[in-house]
Amino acid sequence: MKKSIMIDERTERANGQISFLVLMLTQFALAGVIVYKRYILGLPQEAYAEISWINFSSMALYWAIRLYLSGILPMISIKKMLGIYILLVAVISVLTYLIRGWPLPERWYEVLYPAVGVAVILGFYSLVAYLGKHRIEKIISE
Amino acid sequence: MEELDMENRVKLARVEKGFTQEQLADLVGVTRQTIGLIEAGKYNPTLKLCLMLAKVTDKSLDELFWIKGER
Repeated sequence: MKKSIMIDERTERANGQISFLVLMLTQFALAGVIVYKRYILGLPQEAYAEISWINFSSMALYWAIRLYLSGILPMISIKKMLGIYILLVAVISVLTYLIRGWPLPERWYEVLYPAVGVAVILGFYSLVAYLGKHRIEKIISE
Repeated sequence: MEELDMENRVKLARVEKGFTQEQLADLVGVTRQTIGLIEAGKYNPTLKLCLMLAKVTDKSLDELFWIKGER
């Protein structure tokens, strides 16, 4: 019996394009909701925390998988990575203190946010770059 | 890098073999619409599909597909 809906390479490609477009629109819409709640309605962070996490996770996961599968991220040497880390932490810290001022003494741990955040992001980048490249090299050598 | 447009003789090869679009589509495992779009030059098939089309129409790959302006 013939299938009523047939998937071939063209429809698969179209499905991929549609999925990408709809995902981007959804992520932008969620970002719009966050901006609206925060800046227009002036709601506290708790009012949009879940949406922020969902949107951030969705974006991070999407780009991580995409970059992993394409294996195109360049590996950065430890020396260069350290330089990027120090520069980013310094810039973010200075900007944060200029905009928000020093954190209150009881919230001293906030000074660690830029250092930890940048470390997580760069660590994540290095991991994805390494695994993506390793995956492609493995396929080529088989 | 410059994008290369592709031209093809799929329709002629199909008609020579006496296939309808639907029959050719069934033979290579795609939809009739995909064959129609390839014939109209609106869809560039993968190399795998090009090879399958060449096989079922008894043509070589370069008889069926070529880069625009090279013939």
